[in-house]
Amino acid sequence: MSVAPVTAERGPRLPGRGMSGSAWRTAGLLASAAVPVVSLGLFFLYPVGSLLGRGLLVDGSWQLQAFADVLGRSRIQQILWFTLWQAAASAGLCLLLGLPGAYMLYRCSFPGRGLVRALVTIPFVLPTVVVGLAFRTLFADDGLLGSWGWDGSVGAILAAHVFLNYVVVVRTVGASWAGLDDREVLAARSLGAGPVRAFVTVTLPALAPAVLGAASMVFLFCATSFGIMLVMGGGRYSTLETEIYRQTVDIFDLRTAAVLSVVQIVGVAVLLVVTGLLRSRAEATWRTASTLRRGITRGAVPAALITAATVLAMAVPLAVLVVRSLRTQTSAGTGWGLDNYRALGTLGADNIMLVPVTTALGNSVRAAMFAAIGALLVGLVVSALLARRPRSIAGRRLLSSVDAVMMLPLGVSAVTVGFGFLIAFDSAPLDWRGEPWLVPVAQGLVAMPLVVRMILPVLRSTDDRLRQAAAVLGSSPLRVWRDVDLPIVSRALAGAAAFAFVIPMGEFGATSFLATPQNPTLPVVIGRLISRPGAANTGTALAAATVLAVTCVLAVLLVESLVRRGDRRGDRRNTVDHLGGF
Amino acid sequence: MLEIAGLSVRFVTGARAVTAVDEVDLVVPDGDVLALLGPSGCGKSTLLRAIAGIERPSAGHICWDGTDLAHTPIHRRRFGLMFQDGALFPHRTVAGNIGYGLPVRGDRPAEIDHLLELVGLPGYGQRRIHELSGGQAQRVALARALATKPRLLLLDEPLAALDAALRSRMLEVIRDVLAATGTTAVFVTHDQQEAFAIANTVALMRDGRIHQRGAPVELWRAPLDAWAARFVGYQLILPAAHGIRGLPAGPLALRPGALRVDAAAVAGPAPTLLGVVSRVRATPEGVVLAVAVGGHVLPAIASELPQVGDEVRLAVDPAGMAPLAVDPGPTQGRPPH
Repeated sequence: MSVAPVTAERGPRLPGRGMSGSAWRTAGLLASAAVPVVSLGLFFLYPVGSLLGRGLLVDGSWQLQAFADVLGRSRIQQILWFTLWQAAASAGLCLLLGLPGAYMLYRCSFPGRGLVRALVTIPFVLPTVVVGLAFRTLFADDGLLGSWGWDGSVGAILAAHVFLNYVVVVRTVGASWAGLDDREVLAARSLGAGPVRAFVTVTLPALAPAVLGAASMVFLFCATSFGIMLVMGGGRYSTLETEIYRQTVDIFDLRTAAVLSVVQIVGVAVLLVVTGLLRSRAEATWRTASTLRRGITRGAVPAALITAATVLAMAVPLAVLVVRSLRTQTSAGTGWGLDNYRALGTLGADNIMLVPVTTALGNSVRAAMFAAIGALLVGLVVSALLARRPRSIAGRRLLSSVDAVMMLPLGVSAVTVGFGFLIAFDSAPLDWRGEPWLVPVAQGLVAMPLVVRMILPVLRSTDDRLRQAAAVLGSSPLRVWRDVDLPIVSRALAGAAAFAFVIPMGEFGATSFLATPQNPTLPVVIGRLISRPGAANTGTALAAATVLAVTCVLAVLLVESLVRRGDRRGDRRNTVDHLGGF
Repeated sequence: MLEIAGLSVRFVTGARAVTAVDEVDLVVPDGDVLALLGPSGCGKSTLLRAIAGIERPSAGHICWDGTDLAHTPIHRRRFGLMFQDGALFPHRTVAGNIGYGLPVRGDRPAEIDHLLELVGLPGYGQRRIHELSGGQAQRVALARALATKPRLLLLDEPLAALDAALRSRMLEVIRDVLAATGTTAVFVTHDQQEAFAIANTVALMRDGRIHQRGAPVELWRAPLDAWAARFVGYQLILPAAHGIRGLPAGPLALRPGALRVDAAAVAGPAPTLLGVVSRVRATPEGVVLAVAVGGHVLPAIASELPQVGDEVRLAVDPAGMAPLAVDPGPTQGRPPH
């Protein structure tokens, strides 16, 4: 009774106003859905479709015979087999090393844990070209481990893959492990299970979704590995991805390239569906009660030793890269100095470049910034849409299919995207040949799925009642999003921003098609430098790779420090902890 | 005034359709506090969420002062909602949470301080949410819900996450605050003591329907049937044909306190029963007996500790028993546990 006076002015009286309100909301939803649909349609489905059409469409009919032809070749079969088994081996090795690492870094507490967590994340943010070059230098005949005879071997490739993806297992499994309730294990122990049986019967089943999710992610990254294979495969080993590159660029056999692209898309789609099913189970166990083990108990010693050895081993290639970039070679012999870094401002030995490396660095940073902005905007809209929980079954089905489409760029060969751009945008009205903005568009497309993978789980795990509480207190849907979703997602968003910048910085597959010789990016220049003989060019490449690596790490650190400063929640997690989400 | 007419809420889970709320009619006059009481799964929370605008009704109307709210979205209803565990915004301070729904202008800080005082947390404005205990978080949630001066406050089991001691204290806080602000409220609970302590009107819900509705004392004095009687705390239901002399005829619900081994009362004019003690249990409230009387085992309270097999005379207290309108039949008269 006493609260009645304010009723009349604010509350809506006319049912009609609510009607138009819900109509507006539907319109707003459709409009926001249009952003990702149009950008993905124009810059992904259309170019990829054009490439496939060019390769498989002859006189208006699809040449399905091509599949039998191409897949019947023994070379292609060997490449398919190699792609699969090296990816499986890489994933297996990552698990072998990563599970003890996850236990150490997420279940035990010891001084310097935060630093180690940050250190093992560094490789993941490094461009593949840089990692490939570091391992090639390490295992080269005159390298630190030249005596192993691993130069250009499968072992070296697997080592580089494990180096890059170790942290995926550590963080994904670690996040899940940290959230496990200790009491279940204690209950098992009290019922007579030994530590091993308790681990196998209680802990492992609880971790299984995270373990399988991480393994399939590593498998996906390694199966579509491009930079590493191009730099280290030495023509001896190819994956599907490098073979698509070879068929389009060297042989110009678009038919074979198109068939291989389709095979890769289908393969990745199958993997993503499986991962999606596993992930939906993993998300349910997100963030529950957790207990930390203080110090390192006797049982944890093997895990501690394995993790220490892994972390030390991971430092070696990076150290080699930096040290070798400081070694100079002149007619007087070898020495040490900054000559290679001085050469970054020149056009290289025999003027093999049109612009100096410093200019390429500027190009890379500029393109990566635009790519990051685009990927974040589109990724945020996509995440907001996908986080909705529609009542109707049809709505849910629609959303899950949109989810799948949005993940497609993750699996489609970057080479296919880059070459598709060249083919699709070469005639009016879409004649964008040589347009410099195509580079950030393609790069942003490659980064966007990761942005979604990092933001979406956080949005989905947000307590819906927080949104309801805000709405009950008078917030419109837009304000609810601003006041509840955005602050909660801000850390994941910062992490996504770092990756959305770092991935385009190192992007090689698509960019190598789209960057003109006058406007190359840094990875393209490095690729060009190491494809030419000459110690001077190699030295410049090492210096350029070091600069690129430092830029990427600095970008992540910068975002991290910004988040730390702006953080008001006292939440101690790293930005990159949200890596566990994808 | 809240008016609900023919309201149904149906869910589709998988291939199965579940009717959570089934043609409910309710009226809550201004200033009234209605308790929706029922076992878990009876649809009371769903009904509350439908009133708030979170659930969409499948049929029926929810009206405020004669205006149908079907097309009024949740944020324009001006109803407050308090959740079981508060659902406070973790990224805002206590003051940030309470002030969330307030307009930015005006005497905002003073308002927040006033609300904090009202719920007994003066000076807590700058605390972070994760520093609060469960009871404090619920007080903040109450203050936040009241800050916008909602025309109706909806409380969804606000005490369920608290321990027993805290629960009774918090119940007092809510009751006092509702009285002080004259707020109209709907309070969902599965605990009959909570419902009777806080509400002017209690609606007992069962399987999505309003089973019985009335003032607490009406539900207490005249439960509709055996189910309602059990839910409001009656322990034993006797069928119409119980045939025990000394007890009123007709179907009857009994509390343990209805029958008492009492030397003084036995000497008085009130009717008494003769029975044999079949079980003895000492509790903080006294000695609880099971006494066999005429083929039934009745609960009783004693001040001394008799032996099993002793014959006792029981005084009958009419305030501890309620006649039922519906005869449960002979199978319903279960012995006390």
